[in-house]
Amino acid sequence: MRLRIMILLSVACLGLQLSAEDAAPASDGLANTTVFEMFQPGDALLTLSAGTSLGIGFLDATGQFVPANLDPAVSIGLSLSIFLDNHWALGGEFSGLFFTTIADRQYFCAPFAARLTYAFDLDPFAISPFVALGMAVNVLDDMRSLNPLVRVGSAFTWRFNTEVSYGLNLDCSLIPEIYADPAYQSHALFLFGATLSATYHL
Amino acid sequence: MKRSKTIVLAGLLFMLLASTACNPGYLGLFASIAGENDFRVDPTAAFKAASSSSLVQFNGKYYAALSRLWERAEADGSLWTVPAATKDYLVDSLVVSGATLYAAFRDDAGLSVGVLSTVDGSTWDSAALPITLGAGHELRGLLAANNLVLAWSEKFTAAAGDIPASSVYSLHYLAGAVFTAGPADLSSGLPHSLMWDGSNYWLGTGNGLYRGLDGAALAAVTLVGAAATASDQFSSLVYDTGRYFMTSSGGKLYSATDGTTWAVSQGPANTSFTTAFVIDGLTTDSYLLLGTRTYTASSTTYEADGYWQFDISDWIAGTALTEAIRSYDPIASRTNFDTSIGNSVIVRLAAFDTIDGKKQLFACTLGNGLWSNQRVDGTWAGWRRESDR
Repeated sequence: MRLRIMILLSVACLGLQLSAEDAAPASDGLANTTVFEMFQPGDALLTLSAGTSLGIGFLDATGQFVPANLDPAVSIGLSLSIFLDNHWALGGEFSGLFFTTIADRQYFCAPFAARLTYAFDLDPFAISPFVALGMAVNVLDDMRSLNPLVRVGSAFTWRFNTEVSYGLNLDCSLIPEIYADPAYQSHALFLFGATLSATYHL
Repeated sequence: MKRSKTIVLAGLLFMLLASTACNPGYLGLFASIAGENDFRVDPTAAFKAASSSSLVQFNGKYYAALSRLWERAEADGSLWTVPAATKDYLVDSLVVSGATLYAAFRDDAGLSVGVLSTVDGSTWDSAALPITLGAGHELRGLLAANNLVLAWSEKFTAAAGDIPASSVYSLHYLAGAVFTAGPADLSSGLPHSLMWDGSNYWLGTGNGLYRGLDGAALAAVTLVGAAATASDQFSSLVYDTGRYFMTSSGGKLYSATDGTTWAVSQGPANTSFTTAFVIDGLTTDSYLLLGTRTYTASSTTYEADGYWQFDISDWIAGTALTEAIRSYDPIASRTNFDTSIGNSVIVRLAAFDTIDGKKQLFACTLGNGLWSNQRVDGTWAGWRRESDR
C-alpha cells in the first residue's frame, strides 16, 4: 500500500516536471541574462511532497518524555503559498502521515494548517523557514481526535527552471492532546518530518 | 489590530476546545499509543496461530501442548522449540506431579499412544504407562493436583433417532506406574479441573463436582446454589486459600468457602467463561482472571473478550461481575490488554515463579498463539507474544 503511494507520488512529481518543461522552454534563455527577484508579490507556489515522518516521543502529563512507539511513517503533503512581497509568503498545507505502532496498529494523522514562510533568495537555491499553525485529525483503530498542531521547519529548494523547483523539507511538529479530566491522559506528540518535494511556480 | 488579536484568540480557543472535546472513549488516543508494548516478535505463522491446551513448568523449562509438545528455557527471550524426542507425536495435555512430567500423546494418525512420562524433560518412557480403557472409550486428557494424576477417557455415543449425541467419562488414577480404573462411565460432563484444598481432591466437570481423599474415592458432591444446564456447563474450578471459585459457560461465577454451598455472581451479558485463575502473592492483593470465548446465543455471535479480571482481596460472594469492577492493572494496562489478547479466546492461564525471583504468567489462546507477562521487582511488563524464532 505504501509502495503504491510512493510510486504514485513519484509519477506525479515526474509529471509535474515534464509539464513544466513543456510550458517553459522559452524562458530559460532569459533566466540566464535577466536579474530578477526569485519571488515576486502574488507569486504562488504549489508544492507536492513525499517522504517520511518519525515519532520523536510523547511528553506526558507528568512532564516525562516517553517513546513515541511509532514506526517511521510514509507521509505525503500538499501546500500552497502566496507571496506577499519578495520574501514573505502566506498559505496553507495539508498532509497525511501513515504510521504503524509497535503494537501493529495503524495510526493516521492528517494535519492541516495555515503556513507563514520567509524565503531567503540564494538563486538558484532558496531556504524557506516556515511556521504553521493548525489542526491534526488523528485516527487510531476506532478512536479519533482533533488536536491543535504547531509545525516549524524549513524548505531547501533548488530552482530547476523558472517554474519548477525541487527541495528537501525538514520540520518538527507538536500535536498536544489535552484532557481536563483525567489530566494524566494528556500527551503531546513530537514528530520530525523529512520529505522531498516538487514545487510548481504558478 | 484589535480585530486581528480577536481572530487569533478565537482561533486558539477553537483549537483548545477541539483538542479537549473530540476524544471519545476510555483513553486518550496518544495515551493509548504511549501505553503500547512492543510484542512484534516474529513467530512462524503456525506458531502465531497455534492453540494451546496446557502449559507447565518443569525442570527449568516451560512445556506447552501446541498440537506438538513445545519447550522453552526459563531465561527471558528464550524461543520455543519442538524437542527431537517427541517431534513425531501430537500431545493432548501435559501435567506435572512431583518430579515427573506426564504427557498424553497421539500419533500423526490421531490414534492414542498413551501417557508417557519423563523425569528430566528429555528422556521419555519407552512405553506408555499401562491403562485399561473401557469398551468404546478413548483417552482424552490428564489432570493433576498435589500427588494425584488423573487420566480421563470419553465414550461418545452418536445421535440416533430421538436420542441425542452424548458422552460418558471414565477416570483412571495413577498408582505407582499404572493407571488404575476409578469412577467409570460418568454422565458428568467434561472433566476440566482437578485441585487439592489441603484435605480433599476436587474434580470439576461440566455438570458438577467430585470430591475424595484420593483418586479411587472421588464421589459426586451435592451442590447447593449451583446447577449446570445443557447450555450452561461448569467450565473451571480453582481453589485459593479457603475460597473455591467455579465458572460456567453461561457467564456465571460461583464462589464458596466449603465447596458445596455456592453463591452465584452473574457475569456480563452474552459472555462465556472458559477458565478461572487466581494470581496472588503480589503484595496484598489477589486477582481472579476469567477467560472468555466467542459465544453464540440466539443466532448472534459475541466475540471473545480476553479475560475479565477482578480484585478478590475483599471479595463479597455474589457480587455481580460488571465492567465497573473489572480491572486491568496491575497485570496489564488497558492499552496493552486491548492490543494483545483483548479479543482472544483464553483457554488457560498459568503462572510460575522463576528461579531468579520473577513471576511469569502465560495465557494460552485459541488460534492466537501463546502470550506471556512477567512481573519483575513488583512491576508487570505487560503481555507479549511468545515466539518460536
